[in-house]
Amino acid sequence: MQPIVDPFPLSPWIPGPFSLIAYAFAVAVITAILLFVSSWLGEKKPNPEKLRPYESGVIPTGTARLRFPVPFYLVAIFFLIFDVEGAFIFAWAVSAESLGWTGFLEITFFIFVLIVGLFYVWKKGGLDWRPQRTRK
Amino acid sequence: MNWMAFTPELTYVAMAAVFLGLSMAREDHRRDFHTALVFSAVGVGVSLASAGVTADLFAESYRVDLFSQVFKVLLACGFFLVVVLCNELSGVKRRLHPEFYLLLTTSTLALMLLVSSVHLLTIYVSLELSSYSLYVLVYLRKNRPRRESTVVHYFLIGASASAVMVFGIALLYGSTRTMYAVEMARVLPSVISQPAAAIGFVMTLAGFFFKLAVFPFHFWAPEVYEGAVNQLTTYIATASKAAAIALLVRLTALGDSSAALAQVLVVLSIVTMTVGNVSAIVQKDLKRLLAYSSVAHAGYVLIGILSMNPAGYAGAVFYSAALVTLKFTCFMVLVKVAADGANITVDELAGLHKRSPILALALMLSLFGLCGIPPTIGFIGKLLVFTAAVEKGYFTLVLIAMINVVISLYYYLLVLKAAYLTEPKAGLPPLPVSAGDRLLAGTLIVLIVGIGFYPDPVIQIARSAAAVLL
Repeated sequence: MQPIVDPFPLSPWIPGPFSLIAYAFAVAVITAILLFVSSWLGEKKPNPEKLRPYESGVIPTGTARLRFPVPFYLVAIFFLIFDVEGAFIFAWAVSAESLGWTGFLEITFFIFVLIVGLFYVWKKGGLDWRPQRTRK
Repeated sequence: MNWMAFTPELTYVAMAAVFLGLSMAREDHRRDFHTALVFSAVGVGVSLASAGVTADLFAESYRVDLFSQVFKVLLACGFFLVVVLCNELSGVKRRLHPEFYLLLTTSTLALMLLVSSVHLLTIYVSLELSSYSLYVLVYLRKNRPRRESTVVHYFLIGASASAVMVFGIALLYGSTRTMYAVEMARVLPSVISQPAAAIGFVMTLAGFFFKLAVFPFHFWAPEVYEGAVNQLTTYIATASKAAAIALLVRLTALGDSSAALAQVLVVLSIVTMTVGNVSAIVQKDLKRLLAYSSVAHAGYVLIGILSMNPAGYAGAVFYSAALVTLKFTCFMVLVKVAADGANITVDELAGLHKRSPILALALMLSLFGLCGIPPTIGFIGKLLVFTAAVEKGYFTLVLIAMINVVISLYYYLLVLKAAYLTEPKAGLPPLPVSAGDRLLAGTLIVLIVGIGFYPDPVIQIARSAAAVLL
């Protein structure tokens, strides 16, 4: 098989404001036409079965606006923080040998900062799960 | 590595660590205030001591030079002055005082990192660090209805500005193949005529337009100024603006061969100052009025920056110092008059000259300075910026700016009229002004007028700071 020798395999293109404006205009016009035509020509025969929210075939019950307990949200945030910590430590662990003691000290400092953060969360009652906890 | 060059930042890191510890200790708001006072005073001393240091740190992504050090001294002074005002921090719950100081410290630290950053990623990270601290700080105001909406509004505009900025950085990196400012200054003149590089450059500036409240990103200013604690509003109006001006100057100095960039900035500057001044006229709340006046001043600063000559950059540096002094003086009076931490309307200043003559005098001089009436520091700032623009031939722009100055005179004088001529409805007691407050007000008055009469030393510093960039 012949390797492709042409350095510009695509059509020659010179960046310029005209092509950008023409492109943006074309996008806007085509989108508008598609939306208009589909709403104009489309059949509209609504019935309760069609209007029901799609829940993979299960008939939905109750309201969509549930009130989640705040601890779920807090746990999600804490998870995110410590998850990112994990990601950083993996990245360090892969190249631990080449980074040497400097890298070790830096990751130790990083983990220390996060432990202080954990302690703060703990102290402020963020890990308190009981529903009626007394405010600190 | 030269750790000496990094001492101002390390001081604030230590301060943040101390306040993180204090936030977990027993509640004692006097201790918090005094600790913050001592640390921020040390911070001023350390940044003054390291003012002459030059160094390249962290794989040359962080540069300590005269330009950054001048702004660090300005930031440290601004932070210290804001902490001085926190004597009665009645707008924040007492158990949250350590957190308030902690976040204020991290924000200052981030601004200090920002003015020294010469790599697009360090710039972005420090900008975000300071913004995130401010988002949380705005929320700390107690007894404020709908503060969630204020914070979400602030956050959404900030996040959009960041997104635009990151996109701009990507375009800029794509067209210059470098993230280092030094390298970029070399490559950019040859590619700035390409649309991708020019658009990327303007979009990269968006993050700082947001900080400085320049036109498309100014919508947060009135709401956040109104919703934040008075002391925090002072901080947002002084320190965070100074750092934004610093970075706008530093970045614009890279792309100063582009006429298209200058045209974009001309349009932004005109729209920003007009929107700011015209909106300020109808404001009743003093903080909202000052917010729109900040927007207008962002427009004036842009005039210096878009001139893209040494005089313009020096003018912008001087203007930022003038803004910090003048805005701080205004807000100091506001904080003292609103002793219970509430917002005040312009009418509530009535009879201020009887209640506290020195505060009324400070307010008068700072407002004169903000309009640009001689002999104040604000007049010199405007003079430098406008002459730089005229040198470059932007006569129409300067004319529009002068018309704007006249518009701004109207609402500044309305505030003065309230403070000096209007009689209060009920006989209000004299304001309790301590000896420290008198000293502070007196020092600021001397600075405003003194530098107005004899600006040469400050202009020299601004010139040599700006000369580092070219």
